[in-house]
Parts: sequence; C-alpha cells; structure tokens
Amino acid sequence: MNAGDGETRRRLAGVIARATGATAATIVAMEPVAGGAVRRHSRLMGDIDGASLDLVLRTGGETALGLGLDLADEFTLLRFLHGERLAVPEPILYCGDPAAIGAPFHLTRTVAGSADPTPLVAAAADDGLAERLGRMLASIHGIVPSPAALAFLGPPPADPARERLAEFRRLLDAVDEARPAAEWGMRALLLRAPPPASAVLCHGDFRTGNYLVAAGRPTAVLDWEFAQWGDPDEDLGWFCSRCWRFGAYDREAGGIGTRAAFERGYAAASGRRLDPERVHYWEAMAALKWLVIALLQRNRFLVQGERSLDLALTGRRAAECEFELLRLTELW
Amino acid sequence: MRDPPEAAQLLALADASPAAEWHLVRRARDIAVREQGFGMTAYDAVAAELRLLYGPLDGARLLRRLAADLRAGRFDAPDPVRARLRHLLLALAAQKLRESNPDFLTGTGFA
Repeated sequence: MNAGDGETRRRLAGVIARATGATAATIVAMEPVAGGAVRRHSRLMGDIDGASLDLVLRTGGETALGLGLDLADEFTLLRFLHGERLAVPEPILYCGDPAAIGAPFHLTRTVAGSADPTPLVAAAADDGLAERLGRMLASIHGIVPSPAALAFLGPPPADPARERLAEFRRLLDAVDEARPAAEWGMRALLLRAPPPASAVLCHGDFRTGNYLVAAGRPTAVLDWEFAQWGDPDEDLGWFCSRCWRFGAYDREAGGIGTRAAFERGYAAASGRRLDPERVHYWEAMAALKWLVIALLQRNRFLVQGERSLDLALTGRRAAECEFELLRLTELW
Repeated sequence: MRDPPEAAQLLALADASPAAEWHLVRRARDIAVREQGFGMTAYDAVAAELRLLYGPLDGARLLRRLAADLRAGRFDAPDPVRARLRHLLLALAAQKLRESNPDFLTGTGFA
C-alpha cells in the first residue's frame, strides 16, 4: 500500500462503495496517522453518495509482531463492543482481500480527539481525566466470558497469572538471549502468583496513547489487538506502569493523574474493592509483558530486517522493564 | 552486556531516517553520545563480580549461567548472595538506562 496514491484511494473507494451499497464513494485525501508501533493507520477523507466520509484505516506493518488478534478478529471484537455501547470507534468494514490495497485492513469511523501522549503529560495533572479513564476501564471489564460472538478469544484462563507467565516464558525462550533480570522477575512472579480472579475482558494495552481525549474527556479506546480474557487487575497494573508514564513519572496513572483518582473511578464504576497487593503484582507483570513485547518489536528490526529506527529504539527500552521488575519485586 | 542494537546501528538508521522522525533521530544520537562517554567500565565491573561466582567466562556466558541459576531457583533463599545479585542486576539495568533513558531513573535513587 502506498498511502495516498491515487490508485490506492480509488481501490479503497470501490471497496467502501461495494460494502455499503453506495452508488459512489470518493477518497480525496489519505494521510498517515502517527502512533501505533505494531499496526499502521491512515485517515481517509472524502464523500460517499454526497455525504462526507471520514474514516481511519488500520492495517499491518511491514513485519509482524507475532502476538495478539489478527485484524479480522479485532474488527469482530470492535463490532461487539460498539454494539454494547462501549466507547470504541464505530467499525465500518473489514477487508481481508489482499488485492484491494496489498494487505488486509479494517475501517472505523473517525472519533474526535487526540491520542498523542506528549500534550497529555505536558499539561497539568488531570485527576478528572484519570477518574473517567478508571470508569471507562471498568465498563470494559463488565464484559465477562459468555458471549458466543467472542468465541475467537478462546476459553478464559483458569489461572491468569500462571498462564501469562507460561506465555511470556515461551516467548522469551524463543528470543533466546540471556536476561537474568527477566528470570529474576519471572521467578518472583511465579512464587507470588495471587489466587485466580474471575476472568473479564481485558483490553491488554490500556494505557496513555491508546485512548482519545477531546476537551479533557476520553472519547474512545483504541488498539484492541491484545484483548483477551484475563484478571481485571492486569489492565490496572499496565495503565499505572512506570513504563507508560511518558516521562511524567510522578503521575502514577498513565502520566496524567494520580493512582488514587484512577482507582477511585474504577472502583466506583465496577463495584470492586481493589487490593493494592494484587495491583502491585500485576504492575510487576506489566514490566515483564512490556519487556517481552519490546524484545519482539526490536527483533522486527534485528531479525526480520524491517529498517525502522522506532523498532530499534524500542529494544533499548528493555532496560526500563528490567529495572522495574527488580524494583517492584524488591520486598518479595 | 549492553543491549542491542548498539550505537553504530542506531546511528546508521538515524542517518537514513526521514525528517519527520527528528525526535527519534535525536534520541538515537543522544544514546550514541552517552554510550561513548560511559565506555565499558560499568559492564566490566558487573562481569568482574559475576566471575567471582562463575569463573573466567565472557560476559554473555556469565549472564547465561546466572539466568539459568535464577530460573532453577538457586538464589531463592533470602541470604546475602541473593541481595548482592539483586543489587548487581539493578546496577546493570541502571547503567543501561543511564545510556538509553536517564530520565527514567529520576527519583529512584539510581540517577
């Protein structure tokens, strides 16, 4: 796909017209959207039967991470969540035909707001936003493992912590490099695994950068490729991880506000009483998870050969995760 | 012991990066400058400590032995050896961060 070229835009317009039954669709602009280290995004603007069209196209990168939902399943999940009135972009269509633009893609309606973390962490701390995000996460966790529509997520884990550890162990072994800090962390996490909680739908990457904000309010949650059934505290630990505060390290809730505000919003909307020790455990697990993903991202450059400075630099973030794993397991 | 990709690879990518990636280019160049400034002293010190435990092995083999022992639970007992190893691993991670993202260490006691 060559974003923005006339042939690609013409083909996309054809796909949209056929899928929606429109007489005519035109795409006048197709611009890359920043963000999304795993997948790529473009904004499409034009018209469809005389009405304005404003969509986001999401497709794979040059190389694959080898983790998470494929675009078809992610689209199905978005359709389900949109039907449940969760704050996600409205899914429009999925196209698995590589002949259309060279790779599978899906389209969603553009939602107002920005996901750019830089202005969010540069602004004054915003506990109101943190509390709203806590409420938003609780609404995601309201989805429990029963809908047949989500069968592609597989059965819920009987023991989320131990199953995550087994998965990360397998992935780290495949990377095949000695990482004593990771071993230290995995051993500590194994010996301290909490009793299993009832599984809920976890976003899997709920963090600053993956939600849109307009006028100080979150408008949509993006990037669902890591969604899976899991322990609800997994998402809380991930959101509060020091690795996802974008330099605003003293603001424990995603670099934008206090942990207390975020957890207050979550607890109020979910009705759950949070256990700080469990959240702490999952925050340590978040460091391990991000370590695994950072190494896999780095290997898209080192092993798969994708010439990307962003991917290469992601490999140098592994030290953040190791430092956090050691720090968070200090008293165990 | 330093994580790949090292400075030379980052600089090669930075030189070929589009102008829109200026912030990534700047980060890559900053890492390269810091790596050169620090040299290998801190990594050599970690290796020297590990050789007391494992003998005269190179850095990669030392890390592999330690990783295998940690996985096997050899250092589970809360004793001075475990405390020393934890301190050593923290020192190693902190040195990597001094090169790749020193701000991350702010307020941690390792800055």
